[in-house]
Formats: sequence, structure tokens, C-alpha cells
Amino acid sequence: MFRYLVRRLLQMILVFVATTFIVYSLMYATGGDPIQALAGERPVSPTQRAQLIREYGLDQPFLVRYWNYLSGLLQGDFGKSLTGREVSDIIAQALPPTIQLAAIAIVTTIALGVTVGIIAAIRRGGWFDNATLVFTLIIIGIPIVVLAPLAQLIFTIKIPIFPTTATSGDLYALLLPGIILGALSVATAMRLTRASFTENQRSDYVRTARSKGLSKRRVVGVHVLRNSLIPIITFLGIELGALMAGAIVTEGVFNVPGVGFNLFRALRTEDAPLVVGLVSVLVIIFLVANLIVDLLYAVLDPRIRYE
Amino acid sequence: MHVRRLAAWVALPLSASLALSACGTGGDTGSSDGVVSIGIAEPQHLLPGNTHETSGAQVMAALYTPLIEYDENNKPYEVAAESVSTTDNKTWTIKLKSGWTFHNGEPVNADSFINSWNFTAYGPNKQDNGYFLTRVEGYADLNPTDANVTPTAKTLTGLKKVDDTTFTVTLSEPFSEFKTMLGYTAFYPLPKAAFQDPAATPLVLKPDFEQAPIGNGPFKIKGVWQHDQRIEVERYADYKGTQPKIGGVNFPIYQNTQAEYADLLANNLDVVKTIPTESLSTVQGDLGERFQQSPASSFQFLAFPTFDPRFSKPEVRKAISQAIDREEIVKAVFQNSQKAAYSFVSPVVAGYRDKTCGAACEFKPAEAKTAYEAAGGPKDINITYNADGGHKQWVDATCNQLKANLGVNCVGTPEAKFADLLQKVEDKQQVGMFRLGWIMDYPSMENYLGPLYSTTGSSNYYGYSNPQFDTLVKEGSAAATQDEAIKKYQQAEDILARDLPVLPLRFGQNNFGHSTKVKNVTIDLFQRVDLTKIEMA
Repeated sequence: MFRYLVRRLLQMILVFVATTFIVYSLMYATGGDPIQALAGERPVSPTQRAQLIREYGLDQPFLVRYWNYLSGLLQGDFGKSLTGREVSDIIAQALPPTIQLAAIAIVTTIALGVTVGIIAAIRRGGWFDNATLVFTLIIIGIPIVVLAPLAQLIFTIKIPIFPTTATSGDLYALLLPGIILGALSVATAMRLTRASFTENQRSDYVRTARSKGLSKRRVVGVHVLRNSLIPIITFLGIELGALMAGAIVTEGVFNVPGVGFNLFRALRTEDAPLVVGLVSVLVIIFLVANLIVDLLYAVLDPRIRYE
Repeated sequence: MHVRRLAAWVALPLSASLALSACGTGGDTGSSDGVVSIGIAEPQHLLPGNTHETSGAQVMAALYTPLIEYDENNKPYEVAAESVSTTDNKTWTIKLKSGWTFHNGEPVNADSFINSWNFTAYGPNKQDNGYFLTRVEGYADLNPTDANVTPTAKTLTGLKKVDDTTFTVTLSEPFSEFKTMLGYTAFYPLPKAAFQDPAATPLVLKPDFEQAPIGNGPFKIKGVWQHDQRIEVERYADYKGTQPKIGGVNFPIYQNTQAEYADLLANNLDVVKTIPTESLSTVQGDLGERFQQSPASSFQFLAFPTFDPRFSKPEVRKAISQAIDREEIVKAVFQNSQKAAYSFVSPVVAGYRDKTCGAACEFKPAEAKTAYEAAGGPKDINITYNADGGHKQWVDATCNQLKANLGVNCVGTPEAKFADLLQKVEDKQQVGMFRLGWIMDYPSMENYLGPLYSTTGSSNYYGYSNPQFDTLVKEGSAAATQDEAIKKYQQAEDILARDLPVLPLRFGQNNFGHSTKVKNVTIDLFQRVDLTKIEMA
């Protein structure tokens, strides 16, 4: 187990360097003019331009710039965004709301998707199964660009239960956007749970458990559930990473000052240091989430062992 | 045992979700105790020398009071200044009102302005508004052409302190509109507390100053700038100017105007300065009387590369102009959020006249077609635009009108970025007609003429040159009074109507709305809510 962890951590370093390199070179390859982008349609004086170019090292060759960036990163220095703020400050401010939002979304997915999936699998073919199938298909069919403003209009303006925007980032305000975000993966989680559960219900060990005289509750709650969780955990792990990457649309509609919000602005203003900084953090989050998912497999299925 | 561990995981998120729903504290209650909330975007900077976008400028207008402001006729009058006077338009004497203090109690004196302007103008400080001081003597020494050389001079030679409340500004050449410039953010003062050592040359700004700027304005900052969330200001009790009618302002920060508008509809936000275009069709029903429009300073136009033989004849340009139905585009594409332009100078400046473009901008398709063919206009034309600015729709609409009315082939050619477009124009590549926009720096006719059409103008991308025009603008800048200057500028504008180096298309409008909690909402020349006029309903 320990050796496996070390091996994975070493792999993660390689993946991290490779991904940051790709992102850095992509930002470099867009070849825009970040200084002009910052100024909008206004003229930038040559003096000012030269000063900024020197400050951000835009005149140096690509590999030198990447090396400087990477070595700064290893010392915990994310560099400065083009507006002069420390990228690490921006990340520190953007992460908490996004983590909260992702947590609410994941909880929604688990609470609704997994529970409903299990019930649907147990009462396969019944009215509940069919009704949820139709309902989830409808939800999955509405794109977030419609769903989010619609929910905002209904639940914050027409029937004011929730605050309209989550600018301050307090938890209650994040509830509605979190649920909306989670609703998108509810359908997938539900179908996945239902399929996996149905399959396991037919397997030999379930029959054995039943014939042994175990209560239905124990058979379903322990034997079937545990063995059905592997695909769901895989899905949720990846989903959590994706949610952390910032739901650009949801964060935009509800004005959540999170990662997606900042990433969008950084891309629009060609703020390469900020984009690369945010993406680097996201890469780490993805890697850690994946590692946790892999470790969970061993917990769920004793046949899986990591050496 | 395994089972119990698993059960614990399932229980954990569930209990977390219960805790979440329990802590319903409610959202912002922005407008209690006479506090008004005004939506902004995240400012880039909060510093006189570096703030040039409208969000930052809005906050700065609360924190700082300029030397002069503008009356209903857009003419300057003194605010923080006692008087701004000159005899030759070259040396200006600025006398300050005495007894004014910054929010930290420091007196506002001649040094406050001199230090601030010196800091802004010093090249290595790379301040965005540095170019506003180009006309002050000594600016060139602070901004050497080779940017990697540290300038030898550290201060503007044109700024001289006379006594505590008086200083003089010497310009490198006479400029009658200098007083008009002084209302802009770039000319705000800075307290000694802004600098690490107020006696040092060059001055070095304290690194955290922008997080909680200290100004001389009607409001002082409450706490610090909470990035991406909000900036709050409260009334400054010792303010010597006209006291505002509200206790403070909360500036929540929005990423997009849709979210801002939703908050206004829910009555959580008091003022939205820019109603999103998507919502303009429903805004009358949503807000009724609370939706307002006022002229803004922006000016959109189509420019001709006059060096291109296809467009070198004014007759060709005039025919194209007459084939464009400006009103139709404003209505269909912009939902009346902008106004059709028939002049070269915006309605927000003194000296503006309606329809200076005359017959050349009137929509006369039949006449245009005959004239276009007689002048031998090109069969294929294109309009180049930057794809990142939302221009595709109106460019395509304009092209369709030209196709229908002139019988030519017309296509819109997108360039990825505005900078790419300018680069191509500067390299004199075949771009056809191209779109440009202009936002004034200071409310003077000169600002709509000099930089755009003078032979050496900084934004003259179309190679237009008319010595008579240059002379008139120069004479205007050297005129003894503002009225005389305006006369010269108007004559210069009339030349443009004959030569048509560009076609005026649209003037910007402020499309703003407010909640039921406030009244007297007005937007000033620089697209800022006037904080001295707004009051609680």
C-alpha cells in the first residue's frame, strides 16, 4: 500500500509538470497581446508597454519563461496577474466559494441521484422507476445556460426564497446554485446506480445471501450497495474534479466569486499568469481526487489490492 | 466493520447538508440607513494614475473630489479648486480652496496634486493615465523613447508650487482646453500617506495603498477593497464640499451584467449602470419609469483607409454613407440602446451641434446608387471588425444594406482581436472599411477631433490629412476663451463633413435602471452615477 502511494505520488509529479507545460505553451501559442487586451481599445504608450514587457518577462524565449514559472511555482510563488495582484491571493480567495459550491452539488447528486437510483433498481419497472426516468431525461435535456437563469428567475425573483446572487459567498446564497449544478449530474448518477444495482441484484452472492435467510434490508444495504458503488465512486470522483474547475456558467449567473468566475475573466483578458496559476491548482485537485478514488476501490472491494 | 465505515461516509455528507440548510442568514441588505448599492465590475486599479475603466472610476468618484466638475452645459466649474486661471493658455495658475482635508486628516495642498501628477507621469511607474500629462512641460524627460533607459528627470518641470494652496502648471504649448481636462481621474490628488517617503524622488507608492485608498472626496472607504465581492464607502464627516444626501455606498462586484440586472429585479441592488442588451426588450415592463437613458461619450464609426485608391474619392465615401440606414440598425440590432449619429462630436461636449454631417449622413438609397456608380466605386467591399467585441451583427446588417442599396458585394471580415485589426491597418494591408470606436478622455470637442483626424493624431489610422483642418484645431487649442475655441473646432468639424474620412454611425447611450428605494439617479459624462445627487426615495 505504502509503495503504491509513493509510486502514485511520483507519477503525479510527472503529470503535473507535463500538464502545466501544455497549458503554458497553449497560452503562449495563442500569441495575443496581453498588454493591449488589458487596456481594451485604448492606446498603450511605448514606454508603458516596454515596462510591462520587462516586468512580466514577455521578451524572453518560451523555455526560459516556462522554467522561471516552474521554479517559482516550486517555491510557492504563482507570480503576479496582469492587473498586479498576486495570483496566489486570487486563488486563495476563489477556492473557498468554489469548494462550497462543489460540495453542495456533490451532496445533491448523492442524496438525489444515488438514493433515487437505488429505489428505482429495487422497484424496477414500477411507476417510480418510469417517472424518474422521464424526469431525469428532462433535466438532462435542459442545458445549464437555460436551467440556471430559469431557476434564478423562479426561486429568487418571482418567489424570493433564495438570494439572487452569491456575491458575498455565504453558504445560504450558494445553496441554489449548488443544487442547480448538482441537478445536472443527478440524472447520470441515478442511471449509473440503477444499472449497477440491478446487475448486482442478479448475481450469485446475492442469491446465496438470500437463501441463507438474511433480511432483505441487509442484503440490499450491505451486499448489493457496497458492490454497486465502484462505478458511482469513479463517476463522482471525476465529477468533483470537474466541479472544482469551476462551473463557469453557474458561477456567472449567480455571480459566485469562485474559480470559474476568475478563469473566465482571465481568459477574456488574456491574463496568462492567472490562467496558468488557476489551471495548475486544478490539475493538483484532479490528481488528488483521482488518487482518492483509486484508494476507495480497495476499501469497497477487498479483492482489489495495491502493491 | 467495513460496513460501519461506509455508513459513516454516507452519513457525513448528509449531516453536512442539514447543517447547510440550517444556516439561512439571508443575503445582503444593502440599502438600509441611507446606504445605496451600485453594481460595478471588478476594478483593475483604484489609483488616480491607473484607473481608467468605468467601474474603478465610479469608486474613485466617491473617494476623491476633482479640481473641477461639469455643469449642465458640460462646461467646467471649480470644486476642489478656488480658481483655475491663465493669461496665455500656457501657464495655468491653480488655487485650491483652503481647509480641505484627506480622510486621514492630512490637509489637501499644492503638494498633494504635484506629488500625484509626478507619480502618474513618471514612465517607470507605468500608469495607464500617464498620457493625460503629455502636455505638461517635462513629460518627455520622464518618458524616454527607449523604455529600458531609466529617465534622468524624476519630476515634471512644468509643475511649480507657489504657496501651500497655489501651484502653477506650465504646458509645453498653449492649450485652451486644459481646464476641461482637470475633471478626470488622472488629476486627483494623493495624500503624503500614499507614498513610502513623500520627500523622495522618484516617489514610491505604498504597496497596500490601493487596497484602501485615502482620498479628499465626500466618502471614505470602509474597511478594504474586497476583491471580486464588494467595496464599501461611508460619508466623510469633515468633507468641505457639497454634502451628499446618502450615508454611504455599497459597490457589489459583478462578473456579468445579467446577474447584476437579476439583482436589480429582485430589488437587492439599487442602481445598474448598464442594462444588458438581452434585457432591453423587456426592460420597460420590468422597470417602467425606473429605466432611463442619457447620452454617453462613446462614438462608433466606420473608417476608410483613405490611402486605398478604392476609397480615396470623397464621393464614393459619401455614397456609401447615404446607403446606410442608421436608424434601422439602431432599432433592429441595438434595441435603441445606442443612438444614430449624424455628427462627428458627441452630444456630451460643449459645442455639439446636431446633424453636422448634413446630407452626407442622410439615408438616400436611390441618390447614393447613382452617385456611387458615377464615381466608380468598387464592386466588392468588405468591413473589417474585431470579433471579440460583439460587432458581427451590426457589421453584417450594414453590409446587407450596402448590398441592397448600392448593388455591391459586401462581406464582414472578422479579426480575432482589436490589436490585430489595428496592426493590419498600420501595415496598410487590404482591410477595406473598418470599424472603430472612440471614448473621450476629457469633455471637449478637441478630444473628438485632434487625436482622430489631425495629420499626426495618435489615433488617426486612416491616413487622413488636411492642413486646413490641422490649422483650425491648432488655432482652437490656442484660442483665448473657450467660446472662441469652440468656434474654431466647429469649423474643423465642418471640414470633416465634406471630406468624410470616417462615417459617423452611432453615439453611445447610458441605459440604466434603479430600484424603488432610490431616486434622482443621474449618470455623468464619464458614465458614473452622480453620488452628490442620488437620494433615498
